Amino acid sequence: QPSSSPSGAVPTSLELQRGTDGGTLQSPSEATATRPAVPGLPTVVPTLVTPSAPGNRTVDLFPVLPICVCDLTPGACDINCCCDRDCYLLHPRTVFSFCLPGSVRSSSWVCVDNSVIFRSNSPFPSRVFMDSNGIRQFCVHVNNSNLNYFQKLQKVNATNFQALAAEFGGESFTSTFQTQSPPSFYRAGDPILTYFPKWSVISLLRQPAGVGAGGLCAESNPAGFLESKSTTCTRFFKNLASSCTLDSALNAASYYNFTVLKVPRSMTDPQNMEFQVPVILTSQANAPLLAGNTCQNVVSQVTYEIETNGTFGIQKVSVSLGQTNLTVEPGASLQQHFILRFRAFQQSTAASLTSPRSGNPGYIVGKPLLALTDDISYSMTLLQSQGNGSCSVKRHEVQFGVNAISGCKLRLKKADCSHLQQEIYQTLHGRPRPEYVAIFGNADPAQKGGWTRILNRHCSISAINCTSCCLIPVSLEIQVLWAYVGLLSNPQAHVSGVRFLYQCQSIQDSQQVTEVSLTTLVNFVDITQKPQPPRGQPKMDWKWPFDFFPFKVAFSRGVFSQKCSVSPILILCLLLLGVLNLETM
Amino acid sequence: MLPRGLKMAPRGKRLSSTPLEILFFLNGWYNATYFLLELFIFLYKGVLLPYPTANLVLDVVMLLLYLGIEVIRLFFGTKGNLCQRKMPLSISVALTFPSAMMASYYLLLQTYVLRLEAIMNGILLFFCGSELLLEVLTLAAFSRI
Repeated sequence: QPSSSPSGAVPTSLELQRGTDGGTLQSPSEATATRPAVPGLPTVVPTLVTPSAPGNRTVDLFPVLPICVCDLTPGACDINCCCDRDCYLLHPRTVFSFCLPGSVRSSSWVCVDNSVIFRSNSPFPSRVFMDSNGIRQFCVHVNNSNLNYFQKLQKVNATNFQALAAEFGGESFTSTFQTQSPPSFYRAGDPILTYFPKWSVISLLRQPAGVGAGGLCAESNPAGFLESKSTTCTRFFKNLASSCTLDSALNAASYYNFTVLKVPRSMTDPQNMEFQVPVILTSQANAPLLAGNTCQNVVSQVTYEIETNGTFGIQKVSVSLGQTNLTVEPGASLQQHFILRFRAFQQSTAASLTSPRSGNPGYIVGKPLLALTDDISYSMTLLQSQGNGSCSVKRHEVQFGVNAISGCKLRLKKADCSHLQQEIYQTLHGRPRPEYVAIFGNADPAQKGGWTRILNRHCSISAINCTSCCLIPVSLEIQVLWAYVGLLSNPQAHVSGVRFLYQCQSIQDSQQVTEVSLTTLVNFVDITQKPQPPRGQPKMDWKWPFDFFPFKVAFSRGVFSQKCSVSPILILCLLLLGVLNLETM
Repeated sequence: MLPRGLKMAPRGKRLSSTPLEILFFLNGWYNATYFLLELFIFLYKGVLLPYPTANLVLDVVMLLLYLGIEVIRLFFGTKGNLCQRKMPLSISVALTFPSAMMASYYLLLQTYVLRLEAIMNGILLFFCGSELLLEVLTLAAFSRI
């Protein structure tokens, strides 16, 4: 009878797909093949062995590049530029010692051991290279476009600019001002900078002085800082009738229609009014007027009073003018006096001006938390009680990173509800009321970007159903969210947000409350996000098991040696009895 | 008792070729091993070497065709030999030539020929040659009656 077909398992049809691109594989021969692209290194061509498989085509090591990036001189040969057509070289490597980067196409060789391959009919060129270890490698040259071009250029528009900047950018600190140029403060003798807002021009404060025998006015003489001088010069007019209303030297307005920069570094931001001091006119000044044969209101004397405050610069500028009348006649002349006086500024607000920073740039734990109200920087404060428990006028300073709580009793006067609320609110958050908190310890009051607004959460009135009640706050909780930014080795603390949280209670209008207990507390919440810590290799934690048969018996034998000595004897007796019984049978 | 159309072989005379049957048996198991190994070899070449996708698909599809031809050839060969019938054995003889062509293709003409593939296809060609010779002799023995 015929037998069935062979019972061998028939292999299932499998659709083979290449898992990865051939170019992604790295091998030592590939490094050898791509070495010519490295500048400065002498190129060592790997030893060419005759391919054992017929049909392999010779590899074209220097294909013509469409764009030759090192062809810098048209019509002339660039040295070591292997793609320069002006060299007229079929084999540039025979002449040049190396090829500049970008002048040869990037090669991608995929290599396997030559003993594995019998022959190759691949459409790609292949050859056999001798490895550095002396092993023959069968290499296939792949023209991989991924190595020669950037992949998938990103389109940047207004919508994804922020996302890209956030993805690829890093953290940055608020940098301090440049201190190289211009200098940060006036020195003695430095020219005083002025600003004309009408023309947005920065200029110098002039103090015309007399030159020559006749003492003519030299207009370009600058006034020196802290140099109180008095100069006199003479002006001659050929046609006083026209110069009377046109000459700016005679016009009183030209001596006070500008502002003076407090410090030279204000040049970088001349629009900022914080660093400008207006010139205050302290005397009567009228415009020049030509009346008949007389030129009236001609400036004859200019006196500047400048108040300075050390390195903080000019604080106040005032000018007083003396005017006279001139008779219109040929050869008319006018003698002008220019007086400059510098005076030290009276420090009425020395506390705020000399307030030190709380860190640079990050906060230092224990330093005051900086608050801002109306361009005045000060420390955040809490309530402070006197000896008898009542609220003191002095307040406790909030220190960064230090949680604090304080309370006191406020004596209330008979007043209506709104006044009572206002008084208690002012007592809780202090006077003035803080509006901003510095993000970093070195925040400048003039730079609003370095401050964050305080979020206020007042009492909710809808929860109260009483009609004749007064809702008064009794506690204030200052919540400060802060985090470290920057390097792990140099962390800088910054404030992310601040919230004022008030707790309230209602009192009856009929109820006569004479005093109320107030509480203020500050909470610093660390919201730092730390990076992933580096993970070590898992260690083997194994030991010999000591709790099963051989170890158990060996361990317990020593303890019960007295009892166990009887067992073998009994076993031997039983064996002997068994043997005797068998022999008897 | 048998239908009159069928004609039984004379009792006592066995014309089937035992060496041919041995070769068919061994060739069957060898072919199973060959195809499994070829699948793994194509996986290896597809991953390591820059195999063009079209060439890879062509080689794998031809491998499956080769499998079909071998299965039919071995079945008809065994059937013809054991039943002492000339027609199945002739079909098997006819299919030996495309089978040898396939083995030659995988030995010489596929995209990458590994040394292992060369050895295996050489063995397959040996099987084809031996079976062809024995099949021709067996056919001659069947025709002699």
